[in-house]
Amino acid sequence: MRVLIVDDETLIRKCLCRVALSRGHVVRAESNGKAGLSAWKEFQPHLVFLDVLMPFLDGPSVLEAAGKKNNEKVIMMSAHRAFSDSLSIPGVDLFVSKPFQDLVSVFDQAEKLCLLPELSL
Amino acid sequence: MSLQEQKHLDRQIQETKNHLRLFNQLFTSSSIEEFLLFLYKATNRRFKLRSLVLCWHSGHFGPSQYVCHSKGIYKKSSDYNWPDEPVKYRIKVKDRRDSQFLADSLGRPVQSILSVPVCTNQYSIKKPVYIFVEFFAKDSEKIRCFYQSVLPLVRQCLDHLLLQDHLETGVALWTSTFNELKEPLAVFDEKNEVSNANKVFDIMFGQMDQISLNQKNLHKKGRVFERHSYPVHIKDTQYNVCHYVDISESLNLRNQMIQNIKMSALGELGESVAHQLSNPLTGVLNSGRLKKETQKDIQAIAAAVSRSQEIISNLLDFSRADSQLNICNLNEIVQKTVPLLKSVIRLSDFQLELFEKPVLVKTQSCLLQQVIFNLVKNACQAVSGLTDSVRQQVKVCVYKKGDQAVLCVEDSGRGIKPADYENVFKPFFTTKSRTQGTGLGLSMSRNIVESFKGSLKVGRSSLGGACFTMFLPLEC
Repeated sequence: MRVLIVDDETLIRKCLCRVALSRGHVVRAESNGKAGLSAWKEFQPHLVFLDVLMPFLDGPSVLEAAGKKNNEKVIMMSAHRAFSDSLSIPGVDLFVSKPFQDLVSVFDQAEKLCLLPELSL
Repeated sequence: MSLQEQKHLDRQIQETKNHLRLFNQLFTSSSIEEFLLFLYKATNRRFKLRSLVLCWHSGHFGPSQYVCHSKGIYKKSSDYNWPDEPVKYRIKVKDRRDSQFLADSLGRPVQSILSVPVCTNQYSIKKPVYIFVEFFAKDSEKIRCFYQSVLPLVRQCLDHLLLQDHLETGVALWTSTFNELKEPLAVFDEKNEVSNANKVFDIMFGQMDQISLNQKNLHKKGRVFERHSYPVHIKDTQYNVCHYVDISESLNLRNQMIQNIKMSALGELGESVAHQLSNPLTGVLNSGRLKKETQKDIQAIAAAVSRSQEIISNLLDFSRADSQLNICNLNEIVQKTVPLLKSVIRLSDFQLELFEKPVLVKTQSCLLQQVIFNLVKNACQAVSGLTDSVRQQVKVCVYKKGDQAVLCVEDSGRGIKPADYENVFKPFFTTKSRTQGTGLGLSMSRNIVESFKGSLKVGRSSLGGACFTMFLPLEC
């Protein structure tokens, strides 16, 4: 699976990368919205971890600009309570509020999301 | 010289002596009552008098009548205006009102009376003063002669007495006014020494030395007094009348208000700060869980922790209520404040242009942060409602202009109508909805900037919206 991680916080990026790599995924990480958007188009990920507040372009704008062309799953992450209703933003499959305690279980949930459509087939 | 001539001369000498004695008595009398008694006695010594009435139009000078007779003297008030006429020797009995007035004054009918107009030049009495001499008919001509001879003398003495009384009343009035004032008041002479002060001043600042008295604000018993000076010129000498106003209450209120506004700003900041802290914390937390830290990871963790620390200390600086003026770098204050606003400025195209060198100003940095916070927040709110066709731009610049440090906050919003340029600084003026602002932000901001001897102005920005410019004197 190709996993794209867009977050301006180095440690979160690193941790997510590490978990994804340990599970044998192909990973790409970007630290801002603009770079994230171009990576999205080029890399065509199956799974996207997207932070909300980022320099240049925020998460929802990246999502809107990219569009979900390949039915990729999008996990939105933010500490902003205002964004806890991000699920209502079209295209967001899972909202994770920061600070999250257990990155591994977050990743588990995300992987399940990707598996679901296959199961339903 | 014949015997007759000699006698006549002696009589004249005696008369002059008597006049001098009377003059001396009248001149040294200390009250109207004493004056009248002397006059009554002097007249009575020569002629059999029934009474003497001194009268002037009421409302000028205490009671309007003094009635003097053999049993003593009493005061009375009357509203009756004695007709303004030349000397008369007898009352016109047919004039009922005049005889009524005299009968009222003396408590009995009056037969013959001499009215002597004693015109005085006194300040308190603009209308003529009369002395009424009530006599027995046979002495009429003698009394008239006597009064004619002593009139200039009586007039001068009365003038003197009235002037003295006028002065004493004036001094007493001003002294008691001065002393009754609840606020300290003092008059400083040309050497800047206290030449006169009221009781409150003596109690409050009597012990103070001259140097501390010359300060603009005096501190005493936990209260602050602001000095208001009014220079006055009296006979080529300049005096300074200083009035001290207790401003402790208003200072307290102002500080409380600043603190309240700050607290409400902190409330708004809460979300932003939570977000800023959550990011590094999530990273640190999960790095710990993965248990595979390399040296590089540990460095990243340390960096995240120190960033969290910085965010918290910024927040603490912002909420602190210090009252110390310090020399601060305006660049740094702006740099500290802008991150606090991360959640507000996220929607905007935000530019920050700092000056390449430190811009030093004398200020309380936490208060100035409050001003910058208000200005930037306003600018961001101004552009947040814009449609996509207009770029949401906010620009903050710090630069120097002459001996002034300048902070400029511009936006691409709708701007402010020139008619409202001064209104925006009035308390409670707002164009925002109730949830977005109280209308106190800008008035408070101007108040704060002015307390640092600066100014805050509004105009039109080249970006299309409003441009708020703050000037502060540069510290070298």
